[in-house]
Amino acid sequence: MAKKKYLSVSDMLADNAPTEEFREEFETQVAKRRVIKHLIAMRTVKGMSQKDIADQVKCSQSRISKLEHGLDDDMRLGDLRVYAHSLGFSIGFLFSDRKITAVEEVKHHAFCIKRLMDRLAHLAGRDEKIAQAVSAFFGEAFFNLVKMLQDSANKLPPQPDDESPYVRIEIAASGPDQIAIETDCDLMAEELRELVVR
Amino acid sequence: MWTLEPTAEYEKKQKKWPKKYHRELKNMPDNLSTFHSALQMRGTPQLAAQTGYVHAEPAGVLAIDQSGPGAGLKQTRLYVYPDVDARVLYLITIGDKSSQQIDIKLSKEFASSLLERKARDKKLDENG
Repeated sequence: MAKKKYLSVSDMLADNAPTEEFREEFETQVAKRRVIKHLIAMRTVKGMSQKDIADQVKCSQSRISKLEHGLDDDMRLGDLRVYAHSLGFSIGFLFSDRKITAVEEVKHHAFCIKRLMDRLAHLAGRDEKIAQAVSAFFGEAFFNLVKMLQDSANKLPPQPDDESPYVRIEIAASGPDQIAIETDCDLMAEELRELVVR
Repeated sequence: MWTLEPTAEYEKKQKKWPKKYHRELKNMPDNLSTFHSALQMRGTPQLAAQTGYVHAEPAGVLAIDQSGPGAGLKQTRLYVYPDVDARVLYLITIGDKSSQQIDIKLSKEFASSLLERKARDKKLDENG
């Protein structure tokens, strides 16, 4: 009945788009609407209609509709601010060097994650309940981060000599608090092997 | 993490989709990716059905429309079923107004057979 599972629509279309040209057009459209799509997703999470936003912003629903059907480049900064504000969000800007490499960017985000995790750990203070919740979240985050790494590693071509993968990561979760990870990668630290998180 | 699982029917329809409705075929996965992001942000399928581009159909099926860039778009739908327990979004089929009745019937059948299969599996698990 059902087939392969995908983590994103882009991943799915990389596999089953009607044509390569269609996939490229889709990716271009998505790239040009990244901010707008994020706003719509946040509106969806809140279960708000376009009319709800329009009422808050004090404009017509058709104006919100036009904004949502447009491209990021056509959106005014003021519109972005009031839309986000009506959802209960404020906006922040991040200016980054255009010459930054993907590796540097990954490192930058990894440090951001580390900082936020430290903040969560700090939040627990001496409260056992919060500590337990944060600990459960750390387990979930660990699992998802490794899963993302596994997914990206699977997109690498196989090694030319024996067609084997460059990186092999196997995740086995026997319970919410126990995740075993088996790796097979020359570049990874030995400590990662058969790492068990409790 | 919500995953996407297209059915063979969906993939077949996507491949045979008429070229003249190319923009609609692009907008539906565009909206699907927005909906998927909302689910990843802990949005619920029920809340999404109040937002305009996602429409509630019988048996828990949702229809994602073609709204988006472009004027004079033909009304088309991408039918999905969100399995909340398994966090899987099944992509059942796509179609336009002319195939709406058949598409909804097929989607309802998909949802009920999935639920039956899950209930059967659960019973088997309980019986050891």
